[in-house]
Amino acid sequence: MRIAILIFAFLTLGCSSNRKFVAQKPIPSDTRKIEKPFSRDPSLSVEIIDKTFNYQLKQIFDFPRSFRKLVGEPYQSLNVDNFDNVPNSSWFTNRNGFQEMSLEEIRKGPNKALGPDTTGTWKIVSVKTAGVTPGFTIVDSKGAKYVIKFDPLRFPELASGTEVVGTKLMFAAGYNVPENYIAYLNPEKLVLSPEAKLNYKFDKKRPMTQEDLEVILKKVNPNGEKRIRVLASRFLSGIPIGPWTYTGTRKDDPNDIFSHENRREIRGLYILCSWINHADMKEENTLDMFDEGFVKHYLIDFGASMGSNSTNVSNPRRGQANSLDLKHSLIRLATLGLYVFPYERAEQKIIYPSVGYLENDLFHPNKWNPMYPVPAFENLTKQDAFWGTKIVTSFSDEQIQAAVLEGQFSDPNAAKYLEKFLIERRDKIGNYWFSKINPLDNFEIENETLHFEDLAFSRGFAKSEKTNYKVEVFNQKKLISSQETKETSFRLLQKLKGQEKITLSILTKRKKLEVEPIRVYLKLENSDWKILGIERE
Amino acid sequence: MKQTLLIKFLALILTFGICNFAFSQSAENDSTETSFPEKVKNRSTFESILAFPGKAIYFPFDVSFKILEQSYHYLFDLRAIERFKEFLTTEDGRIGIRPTANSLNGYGARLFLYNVLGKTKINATTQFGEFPKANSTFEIAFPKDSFLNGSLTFFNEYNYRPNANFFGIGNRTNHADSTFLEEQFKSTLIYKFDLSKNFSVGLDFGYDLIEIGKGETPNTPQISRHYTGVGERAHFLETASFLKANFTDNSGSPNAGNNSLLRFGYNQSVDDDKFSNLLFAFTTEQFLEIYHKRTISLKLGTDWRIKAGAGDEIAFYNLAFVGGNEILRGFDNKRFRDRGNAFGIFTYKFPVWKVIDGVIFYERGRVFKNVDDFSFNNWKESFGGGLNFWTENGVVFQLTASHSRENSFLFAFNFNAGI
Repeated sequence: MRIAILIFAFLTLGCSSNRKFVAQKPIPSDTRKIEKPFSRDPSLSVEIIDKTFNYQLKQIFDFPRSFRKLVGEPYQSLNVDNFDNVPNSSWFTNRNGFQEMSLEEIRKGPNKALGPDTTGTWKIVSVKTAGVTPGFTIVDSKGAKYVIKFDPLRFPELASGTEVVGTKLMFAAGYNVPENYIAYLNPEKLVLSPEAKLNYKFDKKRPMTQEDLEVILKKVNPNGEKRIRVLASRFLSGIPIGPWTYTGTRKDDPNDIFSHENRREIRGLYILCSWINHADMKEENTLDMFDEGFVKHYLIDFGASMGSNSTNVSNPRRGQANSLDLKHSLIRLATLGLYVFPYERAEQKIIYPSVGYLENDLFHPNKWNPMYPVPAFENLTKQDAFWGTKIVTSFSDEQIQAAVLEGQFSDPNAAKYLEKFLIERRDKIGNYWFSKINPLDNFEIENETLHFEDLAFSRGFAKSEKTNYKVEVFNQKKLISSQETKETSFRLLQKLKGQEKITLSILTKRKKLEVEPIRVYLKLENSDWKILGIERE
Repeated sequence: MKQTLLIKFLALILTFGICNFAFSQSAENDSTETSFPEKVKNRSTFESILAFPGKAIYFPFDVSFKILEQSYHYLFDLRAIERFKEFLTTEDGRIGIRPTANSLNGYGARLFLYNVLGKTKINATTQFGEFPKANSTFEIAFPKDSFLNGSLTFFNEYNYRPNANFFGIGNRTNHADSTFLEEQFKSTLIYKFDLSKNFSVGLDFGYDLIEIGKGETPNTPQISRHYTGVGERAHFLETASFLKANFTDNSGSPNAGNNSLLRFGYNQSVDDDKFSNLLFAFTTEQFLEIYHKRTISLKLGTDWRIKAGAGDEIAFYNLAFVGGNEILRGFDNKRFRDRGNAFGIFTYKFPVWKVIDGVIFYERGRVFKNVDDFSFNNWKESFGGGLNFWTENGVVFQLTASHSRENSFLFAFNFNAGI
């Protein structure tokens, strides 16, 4: 039996233990013209049941996957290049994590305009009455279409401010997001379009009347103010074809070749979401748009992130447990309630209502939980986490401040409080994940010297004087040289030029840091060393 | 033999591995440029083969889940329950039918008519247990402030229990069942006035007609005729007053506060005075949150019937009792009857999920012939646990399992669709 397990292990994991550099296949462009895929309209309840129960059990019965997880060799992300990075695609564009954005760029985010035109009328073309807060779809006097969302009455500025800040940060991180603006609605400038219909019972609709509009406005503006702060989310260009899935690929999109649970930018999104506490990661909050002949993938709703729950303030449970958390429920049941989860003990302290409930004491970078299980997040490897952390920690305090300012919170102390929350959480993420994997990156050769960046040090999570780098040079697995240095560079000696290909194994040595060396593969081309790629862990 | 099989198995795996490697190599070499690349797999063919047995084992579960998911989809996304409710309700929402169920009375339906006769709420419920057991209620409620600044409810109840249980009178009766037929019609006018947010008082005036006959369960002994009330039809005029105090923080799942009820009443036997009796009942339940919504509660109660008529005894069906869905749940319904009872229920409640509480309870109680007999000896005990599904308005669904010396486990459920 033991022999069978060993052979199983050899055959399944054999390739991954091979130290010979295997170049990643070039990742093809996913913006090639295709036929418009079918629109999908998945069910949230099915998604919850499926991901909470069925998917979890199915994963256990996936023996190769379970075995790999057990021995610490999980499936790695598929769409990475030789430097363990994600190339630009219809899903993701390298922005702040690749090259520092200016404060102006951060503030601007995805915006191409100034928001809905407030000089003319806003024509209501459809209305959403379901849920706690109603919303409109309007066309402004310049013909631009927006979804208008209101803040919860008890917490002015909360949802709109949070949504805009979340949008700016996620855009700067590299994701596709809509243009979200804070705008001011004058109820007198609202006009009804004949096409505006009202759902009055299940699927039955009738034309909306002025009385209906007044009833809705009374809900969101009981004091009859002439200027109501709203969130205006501009319609995305193209044809909406429904949300993307967290597993598999879109069958009718030939550009979509990597299963989504194995895409680095979706796995690594866990780190971004944990940063801004974007727990509401249901499929409904994503959107595929068929635009310019291909499918572009968006994240669309950040109103329930940071201290907001869209219609209310957040609570200590959010980010700590799934909404339908079977494991926690069973633990409570089995222990007859004697075990109390930390979030149950926490007090819901609201200091500034406009930014809601914010806390970092309970937050643990590796134990954060979205409201619903996300398969891609469950496949997160250290490499994916490193990629996400690299992006989160690329945001400077000033950049975070710039994004928060765009939330237009009337109380500057509230904005400061939100900034502090984001900075603290960013640092917690950096401190944790940069201690779990060798934090070296940005390898390049200049003047026959290999330079690299210790992200933990350069971003303030470690001290240089307490760090050593052990560099070993291999040729065909044979050790040629070994040295320890405090420098983040390594002189490629002339004598190495006798070699055609070499591998540098660089181990970061620091107190409380127990990581594997990173391997850098070099090749001599025209008397110059060229980096072929790197391999983490 | 086993070793040979093992070697063959390993050889097979190795062959698969080698073939897989060879195929993957040849596939790479032969690959030609197409307009769109193939979908990228995260595992080799060999691993896919290894994954097959797990997939095969899980297949029936997968199918079951898919069916469950679709049912869930119909229930919640397509709002099947709401649509069903709408189907059972008139367009203006004033008249409709709702299903009801509980383990004591069986299954049935409630018909409601709101604001049909002026500003009133009319509820008519009929439930059928094991045929022909039946329970019907008819209620007309006039809202708050409609009458002398209070609310008025006209409540009518009809019960037909052809096989009600009877175990004798007293605290030491055997668990030997006998049955009787009980047919009851009761009509009560209830006036309730809120003294404050927490206190309310009320007055009841009612008419009660009870007829006790032979039980219809075959092979079960009939109730002995020597018990007072058996084989007779009795009419009562009833009056009672009550004082309610509710200081709990949440009606669905209280974590703090107190809930008490004090009730005095007099039942006048109409035909002759022989069954007349006075009643006095008091229950109080105190909730105390130990930590983080883990709450203990202690409910104490007593119920006394005092002979006030010309007869020698109180009719057995008017006696106080323990056993059933509320007091001593590990015993059969109305297992012990006598002139008075006293009981205590200790409950520990803890959150399982947002709207589901786990409960564990321990109950002690007994019946007494007279107040002078009161002692702490021979108290019956039962314990159990269950789950409460609640909303802010109250418990919607309750599931309990209770144990006593007489029953290893009694399961009970109560579904309150009215909430």
